[in-house]
Amino acid sequence: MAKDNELLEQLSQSDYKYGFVSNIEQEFAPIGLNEDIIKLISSKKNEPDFMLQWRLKAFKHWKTLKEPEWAKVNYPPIDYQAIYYYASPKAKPKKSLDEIDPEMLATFEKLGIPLNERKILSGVAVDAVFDSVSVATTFKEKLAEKGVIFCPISDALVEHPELVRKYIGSVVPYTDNYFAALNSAVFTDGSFCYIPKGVRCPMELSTYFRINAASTGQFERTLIVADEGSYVSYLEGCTAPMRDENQLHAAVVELVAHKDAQIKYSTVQNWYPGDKEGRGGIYNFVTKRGICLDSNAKISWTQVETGSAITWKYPSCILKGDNSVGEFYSVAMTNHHQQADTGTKMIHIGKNTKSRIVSKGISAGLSHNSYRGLVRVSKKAEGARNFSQCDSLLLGDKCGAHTFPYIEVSNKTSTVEHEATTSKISDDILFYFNQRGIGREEAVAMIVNGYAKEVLSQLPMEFAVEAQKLLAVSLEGSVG
Amino acid sequence: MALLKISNLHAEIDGKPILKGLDLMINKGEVHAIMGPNGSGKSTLAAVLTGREGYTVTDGSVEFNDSDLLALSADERAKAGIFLAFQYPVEVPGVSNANFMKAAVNEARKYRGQETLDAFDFIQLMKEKAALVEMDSSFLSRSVNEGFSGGEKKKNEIFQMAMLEPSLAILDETDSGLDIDALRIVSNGVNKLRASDRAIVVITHYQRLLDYIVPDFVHVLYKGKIVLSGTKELALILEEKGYEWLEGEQS
Amino acid sequence: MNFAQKIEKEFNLIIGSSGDPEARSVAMSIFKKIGLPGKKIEEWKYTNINFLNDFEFDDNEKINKVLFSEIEHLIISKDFYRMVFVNGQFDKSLSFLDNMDEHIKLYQASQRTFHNYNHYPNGFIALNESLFSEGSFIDIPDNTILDKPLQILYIIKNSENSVFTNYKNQVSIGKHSKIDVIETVRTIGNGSTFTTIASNFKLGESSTLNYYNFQSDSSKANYYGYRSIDQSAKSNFNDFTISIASNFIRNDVFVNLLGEHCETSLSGFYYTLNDEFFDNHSLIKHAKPICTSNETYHGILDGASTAVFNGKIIVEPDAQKTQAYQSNRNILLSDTANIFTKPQLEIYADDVKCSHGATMGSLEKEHLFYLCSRGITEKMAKSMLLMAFANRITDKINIEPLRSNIEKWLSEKLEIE
Repeated sequence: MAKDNELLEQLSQSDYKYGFVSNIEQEFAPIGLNEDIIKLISSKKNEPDFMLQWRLKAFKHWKTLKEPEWAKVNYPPIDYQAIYYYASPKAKPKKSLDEIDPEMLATFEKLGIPLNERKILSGVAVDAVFDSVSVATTFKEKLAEKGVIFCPISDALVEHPELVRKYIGSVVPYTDNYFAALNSAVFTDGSFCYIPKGVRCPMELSTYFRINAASTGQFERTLIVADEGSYVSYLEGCTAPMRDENQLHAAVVELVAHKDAQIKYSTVQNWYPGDKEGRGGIYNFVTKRGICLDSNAKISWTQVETGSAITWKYPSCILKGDNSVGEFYSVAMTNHHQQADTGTKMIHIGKNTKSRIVSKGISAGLSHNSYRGLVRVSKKAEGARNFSQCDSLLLGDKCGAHTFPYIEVSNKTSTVEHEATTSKISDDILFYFNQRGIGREEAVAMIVNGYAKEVLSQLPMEFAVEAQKLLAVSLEGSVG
Repeated sequence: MALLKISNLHAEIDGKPILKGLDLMINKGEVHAIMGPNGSGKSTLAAVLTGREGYTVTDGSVEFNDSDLLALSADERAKAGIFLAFQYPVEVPGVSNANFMKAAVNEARKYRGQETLDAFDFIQLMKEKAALVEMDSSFLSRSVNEGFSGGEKKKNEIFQMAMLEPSLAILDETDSGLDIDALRIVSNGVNKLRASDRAIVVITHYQRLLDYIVPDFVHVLYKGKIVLSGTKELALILEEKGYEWLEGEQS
Repeated sequence: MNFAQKIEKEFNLIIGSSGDPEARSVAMSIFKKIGLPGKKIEEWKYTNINFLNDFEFDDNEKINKVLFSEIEHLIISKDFYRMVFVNGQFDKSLSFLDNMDEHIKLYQASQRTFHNYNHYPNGFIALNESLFSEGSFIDIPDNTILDKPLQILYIIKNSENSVFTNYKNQVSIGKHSKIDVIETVRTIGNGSTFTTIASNFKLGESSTLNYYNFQSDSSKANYYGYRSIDQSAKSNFNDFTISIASNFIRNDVFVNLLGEHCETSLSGFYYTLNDEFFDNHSLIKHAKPICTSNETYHGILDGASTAVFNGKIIVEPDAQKTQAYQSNRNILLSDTANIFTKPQLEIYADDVKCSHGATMGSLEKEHLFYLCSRGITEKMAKSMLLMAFANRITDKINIEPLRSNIEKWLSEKLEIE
């Protein structure tokens, strides 16, 4: 209940509070994209040769592709030669937290992500990615005691090349789609996690992404591998300064869950959404996919999407192992001129695989919010089960809510159920709140949070509070 | 001093006149019953007093505590002390009874210039009031009215009335859809809330409820006007003779 | 002669002999530009039209006249009005128009100015427009309630060779008028057939159209049906699509709700047994406020068949107070059957109530067990449950002889006494 009070205070605050720019000396690779840039990125990171070759193949493939047009989003053409593909803070202290540029520490502090271990809420290890590079990873040593590897993917490429080589591109190959190919060619950093056999990761792992520099794109790549019988809960957060230009964020996340392993991946996406007139904001074109490789594995995606000018993302599960489980819980809130086209794919291959989809879209202002999903039950997926619930809530008469669920079933013993509703907040409910003395704005905030509750309750505690506040802030100005 | 003074009230919905010159005066501490056949304007009266959208007042005035009630928005009226127990309480998925009441109580407290309640005091208060309508405190964490039976919904209305301590409570067909046990519990709850600084208006079609909540005055609403006022015996006459009897009385 | 050559030949024959040559030429040039609908088009992602590759035409084939005895069993009721078309032409002797002309105006293809398309949703419609040989062109004046249903029978008679026929229908229904139409295509012979029927309906204010598309054709029959319905205020459109046999069936139903207080109901039932491909696409566009649409499709899939359901509802910004409901339920009886479902909502107005649901699966084990526990054999229990599932749709059919015809077919298939 205390949460709600804070939430209401947030309602009176201004829109995007993470829009500041940090003054940190940075170095850039030359603007634009060509093989030399890719070689430069690879050499900056001291990558093994296989990685460079893979990047170059991806780049070659990318050049043959056309930008996808099927999503229900509109944006002017992106000039891929007008983007910096590499930007990093000049002073690059990697070894010790004490050596980090104080300005950098202050930046993350301001974002609510203290990198000083003494200050951090115990139980969350953080990898902080600033533009193109990881600037700090906390609790590395403590995790290492359990055999858990949690480090920037650029470090992993140097320290554990065999592990990375085995899994990178195994879930999202560079041929997967336009943005995945681009990411494979130019990704600069991201997090790598490996949880060894039978280990329950002792704390939440978290990566915090920050775009700071102008005209840069952020292309991070995250790879999480949960070995047999292990468990990990991973959180991702992201913010960017307010700028008039659109910035591109094209990330790839790959999850691999072995036998009996469980990965819980939560995102609170709060990239700068652009201003009220639709100027600026992040283009968030992300490919996220996990595979349940073996029996009884489980992958659970939870996302709260409030930011970005455009969101294009479909965190998916390939349920290959028998009895494996995939889950997707999503709240996507759009306001002003934002556009979101998001959903999931559940690919049932193994026997008795189960999936559950709960998607809650909230559209306000002039925004467009689409759910796009695929549930595929292949011939061999005996006894597969899916349940999908996709609801849309409309706040205002100038926004749009769309649902595109694809269901493909080729096995008679499977059960697939899909339900969707679109509605507005009824006048009867609003009057009920009013009659109890609760004004319109507050009533809408409470109702929207209630509507999203099933998804928010999947988030770890601190994230849930953050997400609730975000929803309320994003609603601002939408209640007429 | 009258708590509520309705003079020559005319109201319509979608251009159709429903209330056609209604007069009514209610003092603190009194319980008034308003009876009438279907379509006589009972629910319209409740809607107009609480500021529901879609109803237009075309003539007349309503004074509440000597100020113009009709100038206030729905939530302001609630904060000023008017409470409506709904005939059909809505379900609000995902919003718990506790959160809902906390927001409502604190809004009212802020309006009156009081400190807001802290979580501990608030939970104590809720438990105490829930007992009034024999509700298990576990319902507090459930979503507002979601999956509630008809009886539970009506009990919840009376619980909310107890929480908000209104100076004027309007019970709109609170007996509809209640079995005899639920009716007894709901009525007991209401009776415990009778107070010298509070007036209660019971809107009902049937006399049955008035056996449990005994009114000081009974009014008959017919074709948009109060056509007859009396004491509780009037309800018995109506029960015996039916509303058709009014037709004869009118002409 | 293959399919492409056949198109060329038919076009040269028909241009100038019937209808508006300019409209036909424009449609043909558009067809040449867009071609046949292929898998790259989102709306045809799951639809395979490869059957056309196997077509072999022989125009020298002489077909004897169709006798009444050959079609008698296809007649739903001899009382009903009946228009019979044979291999692309209207056959007056097999038809039964009785006193129908008292109610309505009928035209020949050559006598009529036609509805022109502003836009062709796919190549088949352009093809139909450039090649159609006949059709029913009907005007129903205001305040006219047709006393009996009209059954339109399209008969194809062939030997071993392929037949390709195209019909265009155009029906305009006056204010407060009502008509029931039953459409059936039937092949007599052993060759492959492909029939396209494009129908355009205009519903006047407060009018009613009940349309029954009932297909139970040979295993070499292929059908493409397009129905476009423009509804004026307070009009009522009820569409039934019943597909129980054929090789390939694709229905495109496009409904435009152009006035307030319209009601639309699309109901479908499909039952596949072998390797059929049945595809129901629909698009309901709510352009005006306070309209209601309701879509319910039930399917039973057996063998190595494939069924597609794609229902799209668009609620435009003006269409406040729209209520739209959509449901697609499927029961799979075999390991080789496939179902592809995509119920879509595109909503641009806020005061709406829209919902859709889709289920895919086998019969509920608990239901089966319950029936078996009362002494019913498992086979019979299964049949009874399937029958009940089908009846959810067939019960809504208001033409008694049609309903009993379909239910009889079902009882035979399910071996229910």
